[in-house]
Amino acid sequence: MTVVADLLDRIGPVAAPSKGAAEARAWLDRHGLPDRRDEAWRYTPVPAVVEALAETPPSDAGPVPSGAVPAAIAIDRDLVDRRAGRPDGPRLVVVDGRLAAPLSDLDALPAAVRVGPAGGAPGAPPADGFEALGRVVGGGAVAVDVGPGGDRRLHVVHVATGRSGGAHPALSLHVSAGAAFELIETFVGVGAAAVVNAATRVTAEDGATVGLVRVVAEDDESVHVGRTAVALGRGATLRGTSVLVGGRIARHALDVDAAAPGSHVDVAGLAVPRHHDRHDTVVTVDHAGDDVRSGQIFRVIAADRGRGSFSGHVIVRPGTVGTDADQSSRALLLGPDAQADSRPWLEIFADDVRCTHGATVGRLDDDALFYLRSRGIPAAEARRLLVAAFAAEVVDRIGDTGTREWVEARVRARTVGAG
Amino acid sequence: MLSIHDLTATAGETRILDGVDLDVPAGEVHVVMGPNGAGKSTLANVIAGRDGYEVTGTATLDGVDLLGLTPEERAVRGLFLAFQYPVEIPGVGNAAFLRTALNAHRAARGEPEVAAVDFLGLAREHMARLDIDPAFLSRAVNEGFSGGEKKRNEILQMSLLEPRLAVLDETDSGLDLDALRIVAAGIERLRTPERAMVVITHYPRLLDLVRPDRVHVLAAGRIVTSGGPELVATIEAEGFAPLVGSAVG
Repeated sequence: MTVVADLLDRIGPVAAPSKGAAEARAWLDRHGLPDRRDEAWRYTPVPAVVEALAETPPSDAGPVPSGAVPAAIAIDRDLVDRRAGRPDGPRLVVVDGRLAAPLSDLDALPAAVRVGPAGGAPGAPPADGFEALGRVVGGGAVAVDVGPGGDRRLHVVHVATGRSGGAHPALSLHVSAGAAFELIETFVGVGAAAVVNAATRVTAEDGATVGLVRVVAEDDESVHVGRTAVALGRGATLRGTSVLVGGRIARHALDVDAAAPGSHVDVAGLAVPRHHDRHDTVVTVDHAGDDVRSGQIFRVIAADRGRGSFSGHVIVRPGTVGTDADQSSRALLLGPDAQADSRPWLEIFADDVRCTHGATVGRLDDDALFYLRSRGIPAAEARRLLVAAFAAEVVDRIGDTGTREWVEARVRARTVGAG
Repeated sequence: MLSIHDLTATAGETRILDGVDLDVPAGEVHVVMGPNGAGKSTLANVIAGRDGYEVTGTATLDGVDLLGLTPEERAVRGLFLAFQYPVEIPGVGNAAFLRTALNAHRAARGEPEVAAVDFLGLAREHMARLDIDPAFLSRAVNEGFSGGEKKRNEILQMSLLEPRLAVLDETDSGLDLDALRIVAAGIERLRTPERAMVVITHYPRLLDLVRPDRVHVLAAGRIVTSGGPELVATIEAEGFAPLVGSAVG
C-alpha cells in the first residue's frame, strides 16, 4: 500500500464525497506527499508529520468528556479568549476545521463581509500533497467574501482538539476590487497533542489591500503544516505577517502569485522554536507581472535545541520588467544547541531586476547586555528586553493591540531563561 | 566612598592593571589620566563589573565589596559607568529603557515602581535641566545618535539614576570637542557633596572644562603620581613621559 493510501485508510474522509475531494484524490495519487527531494520541504521532517497524522489519538483523549457532545460545545468563549487572546473586532471560531457558529460573532461581521461554507467545488490545484490530503479528508471549509470598503478586520481562531486523523481547516478569502481588509488567523490547541493541516487561499482583486496576520500557537506536542496561497490582482497590496510560536513541528508556506502588474508584496515572519522544535517558513513570491515590488523580512529566535528555518524563494519570470525584490533574514540563537537555517532561493529569468538579500546568524550582543546591566537592569530582564527588541521588527507589524500583546507574551514565555 | 586597593586585572596572559590604589571621598571629582595602553578603560570596566578579566585586590563602595557583585548589583548600590562608546540597542525604546533602569534602582531600595506616566514627567524635568531634546525619549537606545547625543544620553541616565559614584570613561572622546563639553557640563551640574566622580581621560583638554579635586596618573597598570589640579598643567607642558618614568620602561 502507498503511504497516501495507508494514511487515508487510517484517517478516512470525514466529509461527504464531492467533486473537489475526488479531484484532490486524483491529484494526490499522481503527486503524492512531499518527500526529501522536494526542495521546499527540506527543513520539515515529512515522515514525522505523516506519522503524527496516522497516530493522532482518538478524540476522547482531548478535553472533551468521552462519548460527549461535539467539541464545539465543550469549548466555550472563555477558553478561546484564554488561549488565543481577545483581539478587537469580530471573531470566528473554527474547531478542528469546522466553523463553530455558537462561538462565532456571525451577527457582528464587519460591513460587506459575508461568511459561509466553501462547499466542495474544485478550486485551484493543491499547493502540495498535504493540502490535497486535507481536501480529500474534508471537514468543512469556510469562505469569507469581502465587498467594497475599507478598515475592516476579522479574527479567525482555529482550535485543534487533538481529534483522530488531524484537523484540516480550509479557509478561502476573497477581497473585492479596491477593498481593504485584514484577516488575523490564529491556531491554538486545548492541551492535547494535535495535528493541524491548514490551507488558506486568498484572492485579492485589482487595487485591493489585504493584511494577513497568521499566528501558529499550537501546543508543545502538536504538529502544524499550513500554507497560505495568495493571488494578487493589478495594483493589489499584500501585507503579510507570519508567526510561529508553538508546535514541535510547525511549517508555514506562503505562496504569492503576483501575475498582474504593479502589485506590492510586503511579508515578514518570526519563528521561535524551543525544546526540540522544528519551525520552518517558506515564502515564495512569483514575480510573473511587471513592476512588482516585494519585501521579505524574516527573524528566527531559537532556544534550547530548537531549529528555525527560512527559505525565501523569489521567482522572476522571463520578459517581466521593473521587478524589485528585497529579502532580509536574521537569526538569534539563544543557546549552543540552537540552530537556524536561512536560504535565499532566487530564480531570476529577467534582466530588469533589482534584487537584494542578506542573512545573519548571531547571539545576544554582550556589549548591549553589559550596557543594560550596568544600569541596574537584572541580567534576565536585560535578555528579555533584547529578545523582545529582536522580535519587534516583526511583532510590531501586528496592528491589533490584543493580538500583538498576546504574541509578545508567547515570545517572552518561550525564551525565558534562554540565552 | 570609593576605595581601591592593590587591584589587578588580567585578560588572557596580559596583566593590564598591576596593583592600583585609589581613594575617592564623597563630594570630590578625581581625574585619572595616562598614556595610551595604561589600563584606563580596563579600570573603568573592572569597577563596573564587565567580564573577561581575572581580578584580584579590593574595590569597595561605601564599604561594600564591589568585586563580588554582578554589574546590576553594583549599579543599584550606587555605581554608574558613563560609557566611552554608549551601545546602540535597536528595538529597545529609550523611555522604556530608562524607566526599567530607574525601577530596578527603586526596587533595590524597596520603593514602588514609577508608573509610565509619572516617569515621563520626571524624565522631562531632568531633560529640561540638562538641555536635552525631549524627542530622545521616543528613539531607540542610542540608535543613530551622534557622538554628542550619545554623551547627552549618558548624562541623562546619570541624572535620573542619581548614583553615589560616577565613573566617566572618556579615554578617547577628546577627539570630539562637542562631546567633551557635554560631559563636562553634566559633571558640573551633577556635582554634589554626597556624590563622587572619577573621570578617566587621555586628554588634558577636558580639564579646561572640569575642575578636579585630585589628578592621578595611571601608567602600566598602576597609579604612578597623584596631585592637585596643577598636575594637569605639568602634563600639558611636558606630556606623560617625565611622570611615568620608570613605570613605562
